[in-house]
Amino acid sequence: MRQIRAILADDEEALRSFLKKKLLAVWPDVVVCGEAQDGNAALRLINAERPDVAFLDIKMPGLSGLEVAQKADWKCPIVFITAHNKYAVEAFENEAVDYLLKPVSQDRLERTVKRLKERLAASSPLPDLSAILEKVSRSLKQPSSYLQWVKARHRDGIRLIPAADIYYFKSTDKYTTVRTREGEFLIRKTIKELEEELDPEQFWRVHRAAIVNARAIHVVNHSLSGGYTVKFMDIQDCLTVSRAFSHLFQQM
Amino acid sequence: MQQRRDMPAEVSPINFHITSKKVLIAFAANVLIALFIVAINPQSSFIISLIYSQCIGFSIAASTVLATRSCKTAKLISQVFLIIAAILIGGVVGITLGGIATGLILQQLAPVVSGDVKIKNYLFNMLYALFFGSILSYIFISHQKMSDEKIRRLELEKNAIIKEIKLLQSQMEPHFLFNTLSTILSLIDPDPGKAKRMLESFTTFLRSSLVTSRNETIMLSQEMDIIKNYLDIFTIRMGSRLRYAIDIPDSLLGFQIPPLLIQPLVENAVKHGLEPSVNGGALLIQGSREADTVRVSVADSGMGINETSPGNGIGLENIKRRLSLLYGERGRLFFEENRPSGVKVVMEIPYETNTRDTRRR
Repeated sequence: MRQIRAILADDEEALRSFLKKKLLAVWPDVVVCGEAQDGNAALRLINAERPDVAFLDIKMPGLSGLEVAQKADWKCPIVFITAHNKYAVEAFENEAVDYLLKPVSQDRLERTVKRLKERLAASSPLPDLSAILEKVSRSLKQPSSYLQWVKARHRDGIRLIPAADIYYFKSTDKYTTVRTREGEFLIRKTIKELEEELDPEQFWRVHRAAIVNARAIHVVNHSLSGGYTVKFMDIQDCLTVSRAFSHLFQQM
Repeated sequence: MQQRRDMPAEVSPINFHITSKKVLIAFAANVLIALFIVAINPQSSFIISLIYSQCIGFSIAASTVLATRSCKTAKLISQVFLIIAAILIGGVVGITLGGIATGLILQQLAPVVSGDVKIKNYLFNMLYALFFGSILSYIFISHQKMSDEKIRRLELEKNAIIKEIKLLQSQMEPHFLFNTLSTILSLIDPDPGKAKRMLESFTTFLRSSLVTSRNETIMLSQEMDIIKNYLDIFTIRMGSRLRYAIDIPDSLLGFQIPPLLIQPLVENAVKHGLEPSVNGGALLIQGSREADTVRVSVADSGMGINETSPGNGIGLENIKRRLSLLYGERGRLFFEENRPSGVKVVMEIPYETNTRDTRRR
């Protein structure tokens, strides 16, 4: 019987030793050749040790287990571990990806080991998991490329203002004024830069010098000159929509 | 926030639902009316009175239902006029229908009467129709309003319970639940003492969040106990990656706040700031009072926020709404960069609303 070399990655030491003990009990051929407590360490370990199988916790500091599997140069069967991730579990079920749920049960571990043994004995080429890993990984992060926080100097500190809390941006001389329920803050970013970075679905440029948060608009009024003015919920401020941007409100 | 009070002239619109039970009651009432008429007017025929009372009764019912459905007014005076008009129209239609029905069904029985008697009968019928129609309409409408009121109250109660459940669910986030159980399970053999301590913290955390979430307000010290138990669980899980300190002056320990107002801030700091950080970090919870403002801050030295970090979590949105409902403009929540790293979230609430106002709500 040849030895099976495995690595375990989980940020909690207690969980690693628990899994190790259980795993050795149901699969005596296994030798744990390395343990990692964060994603980066796990990635280094896989590439260095080239194990036969890797047990990776999904939620780890640094890199997630999914990212480790995606980035590793060395490819081997992987068992993902998760406490509760409905999305990942559903995806794994569909794609026949091995996974364990925390707390790990004896029964479930035995079944997983059986499958791994079959997989290793058959020495068939590993299924390509990149697509599914990419999908699940994205769902974990929900990355947004848009500006979500605005940093503004305030007194002697730096305020972090959630974009959703902002009524509008207005340029004033060298700075841009950010209006929230609390008051006004000054930032150095220009309206042009902000327009590029903010989510265009939510933040509308209404003027050469102003961007409004569409979700915070209370009413849009016709002005006598044929243009529009915008009023917001809870505050008295009023902004003019310049002719060039009035098409935004024409359907309203 | 201004509370809109119902003026006496403003009542809820009438909202009739027709049920078979109501139809049966109307039928029975009509039978009773017919009996009553025969009793006070012995020479009249019961059959004829019954046909008339059924026709008139159901015509009035139909016209009031139609009137209230087509005209949803909230003014009491308009409602009264609407019902009177409906009863009059229903009465006229009912008498006419009654005349036709008795004429058709009881051709032989119908007594031949003179024109004068006809007019007299018509007026009497109209009077009966108005009298009984008003009484029955009043009973039906007030009954309907009572059940509407009951439905509204149940609806409110339901919402309150849903809110409570949601609050609890947010505490018992499955990831937290299963991870904690998993750690406890893995500690039982190698370190039973630690497993026991963790289970104790977990139990206390669950019990105190369950019990306190039913209260309107709790003392700041109770909230801090919940937070301590929560953080003790994480200290065992994260080991040396998490350190924390709580610094609340004695004078603020009895300060009343709504339950679980600060715990989500701590949860957020652990979840987004410290847990994802390879080296972990420290958490500092501080309370202070400046004039009439109480300030509680939760600072972590973790990952920090960059411009495209996920925005406000659902939990924080919820807290902001609660703050604004309870304290209006004076309840504030804002974020700052923590030095040298991480995030500091600050909550400000007015001091004088304490104990009196918050409890009364």
